[in-house]
Formats: sequence, C-alpha cells, structure tokens
Amino acid sequence: MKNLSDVEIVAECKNGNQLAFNELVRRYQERIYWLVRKIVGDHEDANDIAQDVFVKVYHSIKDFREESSLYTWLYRIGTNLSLNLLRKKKLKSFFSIDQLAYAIKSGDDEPDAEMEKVEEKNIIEKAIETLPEKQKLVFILRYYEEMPYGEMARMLGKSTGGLKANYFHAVKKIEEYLKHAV
Amino acid sequence: MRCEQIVSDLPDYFRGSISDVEKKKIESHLATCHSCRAELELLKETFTKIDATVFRQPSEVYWKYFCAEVNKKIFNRRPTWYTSPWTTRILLPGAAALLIIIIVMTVVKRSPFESTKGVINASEIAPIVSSSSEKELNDLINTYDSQLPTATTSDILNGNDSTVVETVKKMETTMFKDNVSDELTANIDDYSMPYESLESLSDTETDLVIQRLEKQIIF
Repeated sequence: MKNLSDVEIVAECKNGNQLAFNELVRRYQERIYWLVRKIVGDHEDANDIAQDVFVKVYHSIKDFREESSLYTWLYRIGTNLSLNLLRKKKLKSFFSIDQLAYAIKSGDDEPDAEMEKVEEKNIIEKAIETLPEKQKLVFILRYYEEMPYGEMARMLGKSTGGLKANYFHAVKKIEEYLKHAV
Repeated sequence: MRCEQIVSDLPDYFRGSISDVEKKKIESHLATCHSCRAELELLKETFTKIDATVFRQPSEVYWKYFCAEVNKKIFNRRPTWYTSPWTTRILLPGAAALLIIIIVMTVVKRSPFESTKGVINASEIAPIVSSSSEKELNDLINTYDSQLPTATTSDILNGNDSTVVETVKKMETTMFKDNVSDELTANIDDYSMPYESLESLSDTETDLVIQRLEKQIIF
C-alpha cells in the first residue's frame, strides 16, 4: 500500500479497500492536522476537525471526481471544516462573555483554566488568530503549506492578484502585532 | 516598476517563492528604492520570528493511534435502521402516503348504487327501482341526467322490446357509468327521452315495466 500513488490509493478506496483508506489517512494525517491546527489555533479542536476530515473522505470518496489532486481535495475539506468551527465559536462567544462573568462572580475555577489555556499559545499563534478569516487562510496556505497561488485560487475561488494582496496584508498585520506585543 | 507592485511581492521574494523573471525586476527596483529596501528589512525580521516559532507538537503516540481514532469515529457514526437512507427516504414517506390514502378512502362515501361486480344487470336495477317511490325514482333520474332512448309509455307497456332494452341499457350507462362493461357502452346510441315519460307512469305501470325489464334484458 505504501508504494501506491495517490491515484491508485483513491481507486482502491473507491473499491472499498479498508487498508487503502488507512494508508491514505497515515499519508496525510500530519499535513491535515497542521493545516487545521494553524487555522483553529488549538490542539483539541484541530484533533476533532482533522479526524472529521478523514471521516468525510471515507463517506465521500466514491463521489470524488479527481478533477483536482487528492491533496487539494483534502485541504479544501480541512479548510471548510475549520472555518465552520471558527464561525460557530464566534457565534458562541457572544453568549460566553456573560457566562464567563457569572462564573468569575461565583468563584468558579473554570475561567482560570481557560486563561491558562490562552497563555499557552505562542505569540505567533495569537497573531495569526487575530487575522481576518480570508487573510488567515491565505497566510497559512502560502507561508506554511507553500501552496502556489494558482492552486490556491482554484481551491478558494479567488483571483491570484487578490490572494497576493491578502498574503501581503496578513504579513503586515502580524508584523504590527509583534511590534506591539513586545 | 512602481513601489506598490514591488511591495506586495516582497514576502514571496524574501521566501524565494517567485519566478526568476520577477526576481530580476524586484532586485532591479530595490537597487534604486530606499523605502522598498526598508520594507524588506521589516519583513525579514517578521519572517525570522515566525520561522523561529515552535508549535507544540502532539506526541508520537498521538500519531500512532490517529488512524484508529478515525475508524472508531466512522464506526460510531454509522447509520442505524431508523436513520438509514432507506428508512428516511423511502420507507417512512411511503408509509405516510399509504396512511393518507387509507384515510381518504374511508372518509369518501361510496355511492349506494355502485356495484361491486363491475357490470350491472337488470335484476340489480329492479330491486332499487321497485323499492323506490315515484319521487325517489324521479330524483334518481334527475340526479343522473340520463339520456334515455326515446321510448313512450306505450312502447314500454306494449312490449316494444328493443326500445325497452335500449332504455335500460341507457339507464344503466348513466346511472352506473363507472361500472358498465365496455361492450355494453359501445352499443349505446345517443338517445334522449324526457324523464316525464317514466314520471307519468302510475305505480302499477311502473311495476309492469320492471317485470318486463327483468324478463327481457340480457347483458
């Protein structure tokens, strides 16, 4: 299985070969995990999302038309699931502020644990976290994944020029954050 | 090249993610532009800090069991009989449709004159006619707006059998049109008979007609 190409692995998965699916997971687990981790910002969420990516692949592989590479398809699923989680978290945060205030008032220990969790993140993670959704995604895909603009444009449905601008502005924002954080 | 165009390409230029043609253009501009060179220095500092950042790594055990966790999740989320596509898309909607049909069929009343056999014959008409009063008979004829053959009372009483036969056929067709056989329907001509002809019969005459009908009609 390890010697099979991505195309062959996909063909085997479509035939219901469980060993081929396991090989697909092992082949891409780290790349998908790190992509998701950088978008969502913490290990627990990244773990859930990364697993969900492969669960989705398991159920959808028969419909994969192979118009893009397997790698691009996995990344597309990973980014979509990650962004969905961030949007849900953003919505929840409107309610969690009141809950946090109540917990602090009542002497609950949970807020401290949450604060500790925030402190553990490094400064770059925090800087990336402050980026707008589009800039965050483009920065992670370009900087960490070194994805070509052409491929990114196909994946995200944006123009190459727009993506370059997003990347540049993301870097400038991180630069500003680091300047003020020090 | 203008500074705005150069500056947006500087991050890729610094990281070496640029074509040789673009690289030459940028270097040519940087040689003469102080502000773009300053911008490049700022980017160098930022990228150096980003590159130096170490993200907390999951343990080796985590990677070893990741695939097993994925398969466990797939197993736990497998559809049960009540959530399977077969049940939700076919079985349940089918059962609902069947229930609606049963309810509609029990609510809609069947006509008292509908025959279960499919073809009505004179012996079935006769009891209905004989048990009906003159008024009920007239109401029946009105209701079904029959186009009866032109048969006079005397025809019926004197035994003009072909006309009587046609009369009954037409009565049957219009009264029980949903249950008349195809052969019978095909033989019916488009007659018309005022219902007053039957209305004008007395009870005795009506009974006589029925008797003749019972003897004469063959379907």
